[in-house]
Amino acid sequence: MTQHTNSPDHLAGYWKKVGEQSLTCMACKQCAHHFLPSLDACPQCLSFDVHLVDASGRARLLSWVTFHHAYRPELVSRVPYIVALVELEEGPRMITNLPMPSTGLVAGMELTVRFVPHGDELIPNFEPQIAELENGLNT
Amino acid sequence: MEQRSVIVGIGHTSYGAHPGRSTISLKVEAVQRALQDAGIAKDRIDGLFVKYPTSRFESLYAVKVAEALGLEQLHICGGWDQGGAANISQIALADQAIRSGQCEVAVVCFADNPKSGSNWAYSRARNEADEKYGWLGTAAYFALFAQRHMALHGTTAEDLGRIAVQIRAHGAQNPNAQLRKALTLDDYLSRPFMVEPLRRDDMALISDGGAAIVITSQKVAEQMGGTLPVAVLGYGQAINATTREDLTTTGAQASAQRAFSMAGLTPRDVQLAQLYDCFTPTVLVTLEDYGFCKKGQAGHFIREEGIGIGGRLPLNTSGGLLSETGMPGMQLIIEAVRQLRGTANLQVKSASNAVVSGWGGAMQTHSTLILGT
Repeated sequence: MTQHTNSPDHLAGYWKKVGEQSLTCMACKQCAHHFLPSLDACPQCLSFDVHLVDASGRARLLSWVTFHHAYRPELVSRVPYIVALVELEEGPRMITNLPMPSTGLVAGMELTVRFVPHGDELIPNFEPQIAELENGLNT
Repeated sequence: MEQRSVIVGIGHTSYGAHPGRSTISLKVEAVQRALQDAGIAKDRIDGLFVKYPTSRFESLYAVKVAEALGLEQLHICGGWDQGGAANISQIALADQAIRSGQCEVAVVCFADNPKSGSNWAYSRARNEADEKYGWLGTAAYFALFAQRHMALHGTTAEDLGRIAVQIRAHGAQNPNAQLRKALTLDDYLSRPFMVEPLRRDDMALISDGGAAIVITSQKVAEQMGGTLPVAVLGYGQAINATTREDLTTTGAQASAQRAFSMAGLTPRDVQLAQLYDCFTPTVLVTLEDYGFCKKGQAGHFIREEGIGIGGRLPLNTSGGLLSETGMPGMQLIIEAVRQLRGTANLQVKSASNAVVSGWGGAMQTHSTLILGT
């Protein structure tokens, strides 16, 4: 039976695992739906019986943009940078960064997670698999 | 079809900067002008629908506006939280309230002052994680959509540019427009990217200003005998998640289907459109999802059929959000009314119907309005 406990802090758990260079996503034990961002109930079947599971770290590129404008003074040194929407192999989608340049990026290409420093923490970024990038450059 | 509600009054402040003016002060001015246009006394208002300002959410905001307008006997009053889709949705709510006898004369209004005040709402991060990735501002969502459209359908920078060029050409001829500067496609292409693939000219203005409309029943309009009433023929709305299954297909489709079905019209019948152009890619997707052309064909439609005054579908004939004012949507409704009255600055010949669209958030909310005479 589903226990309606106090909301476990899945979000904190997600970032703790990122700090250990591990990518996770939410999974529902009742209906097996996988989702992000972290919520304490499954948006498909509304069960609270949800938990973090390890993700493979493989994803597909849905779309991307390149920020040339720095929306914050601290971003002046970071522009231009790429922000992408990717779909994890498990299904959930997430916003992330890809390394510059954007040349050779193709919708649907396969990506792999890598963990990069952001201040004194890590954040998950993705990069094209080498073969994919070469294919992209050839098309 | 039963009795339709009609728009009998339109009013707005000047567009641009209004330093020191509160959003409520701007609204009072707009409502005063709309009442004057309708030739109707303030005391007749018994319904008030207020979209809260984008730059600052405030609870019970509609009640504060009612107090500033000295309206103490309202039968229905409130605000609908849908971002830029809310103005149209509130006209739909007003129509339902009028037709069900909840009120007789309603005002729908909006005002904001992000140009003189805070434009924080347009550059913020949605949450802590987005901040880490540098995923900031509203434009990026539309750039992400545009990039996907380009990847899937071969849409080009020129396709986006032609939208900006045409709408800016309309705005350049509008004496009330905030930005009266025409743009060539070469100018457009020579500008740097802000959030690639979008440039500054793809993006709405930041504007202060207020606008209002007065809506009532046909019966009351006939009694008043004022300017040509413009009928609410149909409407629809829809919400969808930011990460739609197919990023390039949106809630606009379902919203428009309901509106067309209610109006008994098809896209082929539509004579002009005022499409929510907060960013140029929204015009592309609206043309496609409304059924003016097939998915992926909007660039072609714009090039071959034309969106200027003599084109197949004249749109944003007063300059839209890109040129008249960045205000989220009321200017589009007002321009549609002017076109149907025959009093527009760039008049479309013998127009008898118009479609207006509204988008909110990162394209999560959509609303469609069909007006006619």
